[in-house]
Order: sequence, then structure tokens, then C-alpha cells
Amino acid sequence: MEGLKISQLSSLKVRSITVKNFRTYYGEKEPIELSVDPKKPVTVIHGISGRGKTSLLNAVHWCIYGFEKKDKNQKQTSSEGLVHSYLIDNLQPGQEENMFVRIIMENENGEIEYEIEREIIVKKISSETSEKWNEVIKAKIPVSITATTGAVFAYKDPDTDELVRISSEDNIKDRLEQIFPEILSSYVLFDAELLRQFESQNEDVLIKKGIETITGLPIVDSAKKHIEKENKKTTSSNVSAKAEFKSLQGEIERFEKEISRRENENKTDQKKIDEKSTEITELTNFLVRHDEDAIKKNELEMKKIREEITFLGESTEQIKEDMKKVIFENLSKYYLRDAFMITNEKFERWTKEGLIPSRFTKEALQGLLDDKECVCERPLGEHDEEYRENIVNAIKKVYEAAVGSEIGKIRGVIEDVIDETGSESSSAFEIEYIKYQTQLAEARTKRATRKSELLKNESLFETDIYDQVGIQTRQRKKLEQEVDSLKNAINSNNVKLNVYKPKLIEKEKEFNKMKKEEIKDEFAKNKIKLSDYAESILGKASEKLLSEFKTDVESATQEYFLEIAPQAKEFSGIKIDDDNFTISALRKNGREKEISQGQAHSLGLSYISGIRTITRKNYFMMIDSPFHNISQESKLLACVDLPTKMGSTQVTFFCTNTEYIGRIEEDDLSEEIDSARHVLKKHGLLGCEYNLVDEVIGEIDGEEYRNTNVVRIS
Amino acid sequence: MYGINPKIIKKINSLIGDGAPAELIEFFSEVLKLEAKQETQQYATKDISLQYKSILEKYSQNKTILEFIGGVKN
Repeated sequence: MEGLKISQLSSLKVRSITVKNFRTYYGEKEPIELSVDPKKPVTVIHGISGRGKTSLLNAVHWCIYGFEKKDKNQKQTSSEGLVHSYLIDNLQPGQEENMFVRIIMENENGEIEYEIEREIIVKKISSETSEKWNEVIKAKIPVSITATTGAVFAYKDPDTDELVRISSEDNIKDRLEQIFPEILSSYVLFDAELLRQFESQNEDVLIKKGIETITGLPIVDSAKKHIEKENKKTTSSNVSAKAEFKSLQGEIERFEKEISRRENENKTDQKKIDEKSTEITELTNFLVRHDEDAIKKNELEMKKIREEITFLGESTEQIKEDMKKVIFENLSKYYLRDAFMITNEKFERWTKEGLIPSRFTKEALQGLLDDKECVCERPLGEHDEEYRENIVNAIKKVYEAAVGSEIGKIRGVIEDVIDETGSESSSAFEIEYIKYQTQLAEARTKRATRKSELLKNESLFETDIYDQVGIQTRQRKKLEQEVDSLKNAINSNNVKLNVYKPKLIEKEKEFNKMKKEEIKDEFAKNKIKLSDYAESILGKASEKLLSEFKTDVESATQEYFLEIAPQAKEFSGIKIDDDNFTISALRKNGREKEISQGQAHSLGLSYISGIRTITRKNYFMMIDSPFHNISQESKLLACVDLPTKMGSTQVTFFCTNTEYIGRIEEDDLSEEIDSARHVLKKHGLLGCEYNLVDEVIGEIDGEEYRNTNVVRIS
Repeated sequence: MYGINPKIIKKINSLIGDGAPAELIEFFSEVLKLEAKQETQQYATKDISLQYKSILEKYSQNKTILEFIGGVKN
């Protein structure tokens, strides 16, 4: 026999999206038809920023799940809600209007598979104008407006191929949750700016669970559970020695329960141990940094720094004093320079005119009279009276000369000042001043640096550091004791588990033996036999498939990543974590270095493409900002590789005009690189393209209302 | 088989082996179909239990299946 018939992977494509009054889309729009042609699987919806690309993607999410994709940045104060504000602001009392989003999905044969329509009906019941936050519309609207939601879901009945419509909200929710588990949206409807979510595990994105869900593995587990349940029922109702059998069954259940309880306890304890160990490591690092030697060393260091700060403070004051001196000592000279220049010019002129006598010393002439002898050492006699008279006359002149001499001295001083304040010396003075300025700045910077060093050290080694060390030491000890006690609990559980597990196997064997012996009814026996077999096959399938899926995803992701990542040659491959399926890129030679935004983007896209190789259906894919943060070259690779590598997956890109139409020169030397649009066309991948344009549709109290139109380009 | 991941079907095929009788394949096929249908049909617990009971009863009376699984060591 050939085995179970394997049909081609069934695909799910969005045939059309119709919006009416959703966010920026005013009125009912023509259905936006996406390309369902497997040869041209790409649809591009582009527009300038703020035109409503993300709103359209959110419309799809809202229609399927009843809420928009979680946006942590969305503020409750935002005035724009789910329903176009022009509609809200123009509602008249008693008037009723609606907003809706309708999505039609088809399978690989072009038959409608699902049709989902979700709407909000708004009604104005009074003219009250005060506003309040409305949880349905997600905006502040007048309290006079009521908003109610409704939904209709249609699916193709697998038995009759007819569309079955249901409209009860709860029922729709359950069915849609089965078909499109929320976790699937991370792989189907996503914002490329959030592609880094696959690099670390967080509460919002349980990657492993997501992957398990989209592969369809829960179907296998669910089938096994149902058969198990049926098996138990058949067994217990057909066994003859009911009491004994029941007691054995009870024992097995108790063992199972006990094993599961202890295993869960171990898991929880191990998690606690991991958390506490991290805390212990942090405390140990603190204590290593703050042991007695380190504290003493730091105290000495701080003393040194404090002294240096004081010294630098004094130096600063000294420099300031020197600067003051330089300024004030020279200032008067500069102040008088012009006056001195004029005076000196005058003196020169007077000297030339003979108004100032030449220099002579009166003391020399007085000496001649006092000594009563001539300069030739001949004594002056009575007969020299005339000569004496001449000397007296000369002395008179000498007084005049003395005046001249003093003036000469003054001129000397004046000339000195003029020289000192000349351009040469003023440059020297300026140089000296700048030197002081530099010294002052250096001293100040050094002092500030030292001060910040001191502050840092003080914060590390606060005054109560010995107390802190004591507290942290006690805390570490306490944590270590807790870890020990948790380890003991795990050990003790393991001891018990080592006893319970073989006992369980033993009891199960006993139970199976009893089943064979006790169950006389052939019919029941056969049913149990088949159930046991099916349980075993489904159990093995589930167990093996998860690890095989991981291997498949790893190899496909690696292939894409090494092809589209910027500077891909830096990497040797990728790795998917065994426990939580988070992804990381492996650098060559095991070098540890954070990957760039562009590389992370490529890694996320590659991961999603890799996951596509194991999904149960070939789901459509809608990507917001697919080319955000990546180079033009990577963008072009991604827009061709994504649709071609993923077979006939329907891909819809929501991007800005620049991302889509822009041709970019990477640098001055390189040639112009094609636009994404041109490349998609060249490869024959572009099925449809739409441009989002907006217009003003009205104005109320000076506030303009805009409407986004979806214009089909091709 | 529509709606079932082909990789799951391949795995089950490989586990039951090449020599598996057509009836056993049909049995697994029905089980998986029922699970796939459950997504949209949302059978009540009681109903799905009844459907499993009926599938198991139907195929467990098939001699070819019993002979085959009787000779297989799980």
C-alpha cells in the first residue's frame, strides 16, 4: 500500500479586502483584490507615510481577531479611532451608520474557503456632546454615541463544499481561533520593524508554541488524546474483575499524577534556581569588587583624589591670581600709552628746538667749587675770581641742565613704557595671558574629572559600604541556602521519580496483562488493540515531528539568511534554540558581536520563510514595512527571494513610495540600483499594485478631515 | 488529505510502514479528517467522542488490520 494520500500543501490566499469607514478610509471602498496568481504572487500597496498602509494591515487583523495587532505605543488619548472620525462627528441624533471590514479567502483551487465580515454599528442617541473613551471604537467619542460589534463568518463545509454562514459572536471566535490561532499572526500578518522578536523569548511571542501550532501538530496530539479517552472507557467497561482492575487503574493514575506533579515541581524549582543563581552571580560580582582589600585600596585612592582636587583648586586660584596680575600690571601702561606717546613727541620737538638743555651734572660743578681746585687738580686762587664767577654762572645753568636731566629720565621711562606696550610686547603679553588661560582650563578640567571620579567611587563605595557588604553577604548566603534547598527538593523528587517511573511501567504492564486476560469480549479486545496501536503511532509521530520540523526550519532559514543578509560572509550559519526556538546568527570563528539592524531584519525574514517550509497550510503573508532598515541591495534580494523561495505563497507588501519606487545610489562611485518595483516587474512577480492617496473631505471647526483612497495601478 | 500538513501524513506513513493494509490507512485518514473538520465544525465533546467510538468500532473489527497490528511490535 502507498499509505495515506498526500495531497499538495493546501494554500490559503486573500482574494479581496473591503473596508468601509475603517480608520482613514471614509465610505465603502471598492474591494481591494490581491493577486491570487501563483506565478505572480506579489501585491504591493504603497503610499507616502501616514496614508493608511498600517491601518489596512490592521483592518485585516481586526477582521480576523476582533482587535488590531497589539501596538504598545498606541495611546488612549489618540483621537483617531477604528471608525472614521468624520462619520462620528457628523452623526445626527437618531442616525445610525456602520464601519466594516470584509475579507474573502480562497484555497488553491480558487474556491472560497472563508469569508469574514466584522462590523461596528454606531448610533447617536442624543445631542450630548461630552466625550468619553469608548472601548469598542478605541477613541474618545461623545457619550451620546453607542457602538456595537457584530461579525459573520462563512466556511466551506468539507463534506458538502457549500458555504456555511454563522453569525453568533462566540461561536465565530472559537472557530476563528482554531483556524487562525492568534499566535499565527506573528508569521502571517506582521510588521517587519518587529522582526527582532524572534531573537529572544518574551511573554507576547511564544515562538515554540507558535511554530507547533502552525505546523498542525496539535491535530495529532488531539487525535491521540481522543483515542486514549475512548480506550480507557472501553477498558473500564469491559473488564470482569472490576474492583481489582479499578484499583490498578487508580494506582496508575496516582503514579501518573505524582510523576507529573513532581516533574512540574522540578521545572518550577529549576527556574527558581536559575533566577537565584543570576542574583547570586550579581551579588558575588559586587562582593568581589568590594572585598576588604578593594575597599582599603579605594579609600587610599579616594584620599589621593581628594588631595589632588584640593591641590588643583589651589593651582586654579594661583593661576587666576597670576592672570589678574598680568592684566592689572600691564593695564595702566596700556592706559597711559597714548598720553606718553604725545608727551614724548613733544619732548623730542622741544629738544630739537633747544628748549630743553642738554644733560649735565650739577654735582660735578659743585664739586669744583667745594674742592677749590680745577678739574686739572690745580688749586683755585684769589686770582681766579673771574674763573669762579664763571663756575657760579655755570652752576646756574647746571640747574637748568638738571631739569633737562630729569626730563630725560622721565622720557626714558616714557620710552620704556611705549616700547613695552608696542605690538611685539603686546603679542608677548597676549601669549602669556593665553598660556595662563590654557593652564586654568586644564586645571579646571582635571579637577572636574577627579571630582567625577570621586563621586563615582563614592557611589560605589558609599560611606556605609561595610554595612552594605554585610547585607549583601548575608543576602548571598540566604540565596545560596535557598538554592541548596531547591536542589535538595529536586534531588528528593528525582529519587522518588526513579522509584515511581519503573513502578508505573510495571503497573502498566500488569494493567495491559490484566486487560488481555480479563477482557473476554473479543469486540472490546480488538477495539483496545487498535486504540493502543493508534495511540503509539500518533505519540511517536508527534514526538519525532517536532524535532524534524526544527531541523527543517533551521536548514531553510540558514539558506535564506546566508543569501540575503548584508555582509552574509561574516556568518557561518544560524541556530535555533532547543528550548524556546529563539533564533541567533552564528559568526565565523565564533566571534561574538551584535548583529546590525539590517542583518537582524534579514534574520527575521529568513526565519519566517524557513518556518513556511513546515506550515500545515501555505498561508498568505502580509508584511508591513518589509524593506525597513535594510540596504537597497538586500531589499531587492528580499523582494525577489521571499516570493520565489516560498513557492506560490501569496505575499502582500505594504511599503512607502520611497521603499518601493526609489532608485538609490549606494555611494558616489556605485551605479544606480534598481527600484523594488522594477525588480519585481522584471522577475514577473508583481500581480497587483495599489497606491494610497488621500483627499480632504470636509472641515468642521477648522479641523480638516481626510480620506484615503485606494487606487489600482496595475 | 486536505488541511493536514503533508509532513504529518508522511511521518504517519513511515511509522505504519509500507506493508500497512488499505483499511488501516483509511482508519488514520478518518481520524485526521475528523480532527481537521473539528476546526470549523466545533463538535461538542459528546459528539466527537461518539465519532471516535464509531471509527474505532468500525476498524477494530477488520481482520486485515488486526492481523497487521498483531504482528507489529510497538
